[in-house]
Amino acid sequence: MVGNNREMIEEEPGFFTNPWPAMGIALGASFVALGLGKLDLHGTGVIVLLIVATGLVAAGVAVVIQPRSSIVLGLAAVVAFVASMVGNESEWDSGRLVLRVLCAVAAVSAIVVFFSPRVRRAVFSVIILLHFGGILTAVSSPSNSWLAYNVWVYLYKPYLQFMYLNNAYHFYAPEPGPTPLLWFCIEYEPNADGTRNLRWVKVPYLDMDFDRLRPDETPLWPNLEYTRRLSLAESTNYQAEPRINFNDLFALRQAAGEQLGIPFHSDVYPHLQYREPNDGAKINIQSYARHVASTFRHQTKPELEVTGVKVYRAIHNIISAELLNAGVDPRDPALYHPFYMGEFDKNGKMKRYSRPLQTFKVILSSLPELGTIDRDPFLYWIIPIERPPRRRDQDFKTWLKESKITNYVKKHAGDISEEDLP
Amino acid sequence: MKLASANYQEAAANPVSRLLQGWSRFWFTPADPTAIGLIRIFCGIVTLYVHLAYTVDLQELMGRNAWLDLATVNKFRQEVPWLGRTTDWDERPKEIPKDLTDDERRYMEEWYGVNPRTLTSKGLPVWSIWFHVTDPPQMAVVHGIILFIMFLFTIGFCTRITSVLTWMGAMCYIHRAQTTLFGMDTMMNLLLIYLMIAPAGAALSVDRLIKRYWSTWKALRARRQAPDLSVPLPKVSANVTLKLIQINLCLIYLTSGLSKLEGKAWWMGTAIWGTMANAEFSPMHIPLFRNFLQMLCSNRWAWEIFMTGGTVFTLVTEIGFIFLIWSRRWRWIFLTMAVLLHTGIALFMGLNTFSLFMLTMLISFVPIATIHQVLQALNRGTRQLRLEYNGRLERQVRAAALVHAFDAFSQVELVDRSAGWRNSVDGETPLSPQKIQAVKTFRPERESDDTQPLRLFEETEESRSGYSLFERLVRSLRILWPVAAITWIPGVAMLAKRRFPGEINAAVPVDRLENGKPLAKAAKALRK
Repeated sequence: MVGNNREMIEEEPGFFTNPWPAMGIALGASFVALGLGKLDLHGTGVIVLLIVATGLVAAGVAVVIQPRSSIVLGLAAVVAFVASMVGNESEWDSGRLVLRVLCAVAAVSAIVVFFSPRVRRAVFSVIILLHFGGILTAVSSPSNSWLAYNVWVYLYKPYLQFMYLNNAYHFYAPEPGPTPLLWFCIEYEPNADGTRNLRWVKVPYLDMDFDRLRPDETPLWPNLEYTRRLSLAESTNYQAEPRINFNDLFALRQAAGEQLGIPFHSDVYPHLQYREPNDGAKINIQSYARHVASTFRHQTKPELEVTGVKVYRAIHNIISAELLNAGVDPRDPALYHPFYMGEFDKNGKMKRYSRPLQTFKVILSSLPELGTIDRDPFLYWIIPIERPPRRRDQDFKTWLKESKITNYVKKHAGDISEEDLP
Repeated sequence: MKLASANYQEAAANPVSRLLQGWSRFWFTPADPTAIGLIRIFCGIVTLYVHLAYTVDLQELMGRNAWLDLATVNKFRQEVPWLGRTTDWDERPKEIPKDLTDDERRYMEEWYGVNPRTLTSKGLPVWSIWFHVTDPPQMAVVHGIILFIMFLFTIGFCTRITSVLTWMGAMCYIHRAQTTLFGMDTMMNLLLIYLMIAPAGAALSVDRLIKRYWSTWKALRARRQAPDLSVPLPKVSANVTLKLIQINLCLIYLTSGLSKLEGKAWWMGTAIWGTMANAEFSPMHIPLFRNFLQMLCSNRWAWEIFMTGGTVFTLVTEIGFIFLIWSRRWRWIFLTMAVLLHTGIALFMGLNTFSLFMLTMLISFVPIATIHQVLQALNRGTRQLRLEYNGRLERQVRAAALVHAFDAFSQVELVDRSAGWRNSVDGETPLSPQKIQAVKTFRPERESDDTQPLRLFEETEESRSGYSLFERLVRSLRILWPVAAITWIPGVAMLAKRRFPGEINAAVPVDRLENGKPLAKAAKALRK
């Protein structure tokens, strides 16, 4: 009885009461679109799309007018299914996916509304439990728990990814960390005298007044777009285990560093100075390098072609209270830890690296038979920006004032300009 | 009777029945959809802003050569490998078979050595119009249409349709530019999903205005009393949506709070510093903020108390929320704490839109009586008016219905002048209070009543018609204040008065009857 009253409360006289004209339009439009799609006439693509969209909206209107009619819902499912069949199967694949999901939702609803309110409520209760069950699998860090991960992969993944519900809600956890930024050093064709043409692009870019700027130094507005660029840089920050023996990587980096005069960072443990991105992050970096190469021309010689893009993921460490109190700027260059992500061509392919092994005078345990090294020794290692170590007798503030920062990133990128990074 | 009581007691004693009853009561009790309407407005405004912001960077984020370009995003959505974890204890990677096909070898190369035969699935079930529409002018048109739909959703027009289209539109951006997303997009998506289920247009919407107009017009035309539509009918779907938002919000806080307990900085009380001193997020460009940080750092005690206090406050708010928000005693305390938390996040971390969405979700916990009180305090004008119309004239009935539709807080009393006239002549007993009012208030018109225009009376009995009526009405009903702005534009009044001439009559004595006798003032005027 109570249930019936509740159902009655839901009923309120609507503006329209007859769903059939809308449903007629929906069915007509979807079948017309299907027919036009089969004919595959040149230049009718946009028209067919508009007809499909009209049909779908009309079906939606019919469902809104009579949401509890099995027939209306069933026909709406038919409209969605027919619309998903329109045109060439290889085109608009993601649109077809949505339409088939809509079709399934409408078909299941058509069956559910057929039953009594009690059954409908039971079905809805199950849906609620399944929904929050899915969110819980996403929340419980699938990579840690075997059970949650497998339930997520085999059961919930399609639902959560389709609906974009796979956020784990671990905001600022386990700790608020430093922010990764992206620095690109674009190299263009050299001048006739052999000198290099370089341009730095930093994403996002804060100037010395902490103003948020685009690479062309115009204000990055609105603030939301600035935050989106922070996310862009964050997407390169997912790490993987090194695929090569770490001792070899270390030996190679040490040898190359000694040869080129780029030492390890003196304040960071060596094993923390190597951070290899995971596969997804590597693919993202390729895309970003491609974007940078195609978007940013040389400021004074826009006709020059891009010959390479060096990418650095710069971790901007958060200044400590002690340093801030001592008068250090939160953007002090020494707070940045740039990791070298590789050099890419204008198509986003990592440039081939090849040097004879003897160049580095190093013995590698896992690759003893190799005659050449095909991997940049600095790849995924910190290229330091730092002050010289403080002497024991030196006062902290004096050291801060007097010591000169050495920027090895510029050296590594081959930039000999006076302007300093970051 | 005894049997029924026994059954009830039995049911009450049965824990499963009690659980089911509780579950049903929690989810399926009808609720006032006004809170949902308010959530829709806030969510719609922020969603519209978020997507309006994309306009600046549409090509950079969604175009063919965007940061995450089309080729890469297609590669992810069609090929990204998904591996399940083995059902035995041996989790070492399987040996790569030697008889791999060329396609499988290519796949291995592309995906950094993943064995394609061990996959549970490939690709992502993501969808977006930006995977298919990549021509910049066409993209601009589609983007404009999506923004327009979001605007319609925000004002609550055809909300059942526009809510679904808004969610679909938002998802197009989310699925296309996946590497530019952050917590704000998650919250926006959650709200939009739940608002699709909700009767989001049942209150505080254009849909509601249309419904109010439609119902009033039908009633006035049939010479019935205008229906009381000040509060929308309670709906089960409104309650379900509110509960979904509440439960999800509790889960967000709990997970966020518990995951922080893994971090050393949250135990040491220094985590807040990590958010406030982050140069990329915090408002370091504001000297006042930088000075504040430096002032804090100059005193160790102040720094430690502030940081530890902030850390404890965050943890208590996030972890305690799910347990105490349901208690009436604690609800306002935790709501206030959550509001402070999000205000802090907006101010110190620059995540304004994220905070706005979280605050919008918090509305689901505000008692409906409070929402009505606040709405009334903000939107009800101080003037009490009376609109006289002629129920025999269709134009006047429509106008009266329109006024009633916008009069959400019963500021304007509708009076059918023709009903009053008819009643006095025929001596009928009026059935509705409106008609009673008409009889009490009006004398029979001396000339033909049909020539009389709409007339708006104030409490002082000053009356207006024509443009003056419109002006007074839009300035009195706060919901129409955006329209009232037009009336302040110089020259508008002059032009409008020419087109819609009317008059303002000072409070003249009328033969108002009181207890069946004329008022003294009216009698005096009549004698004159």
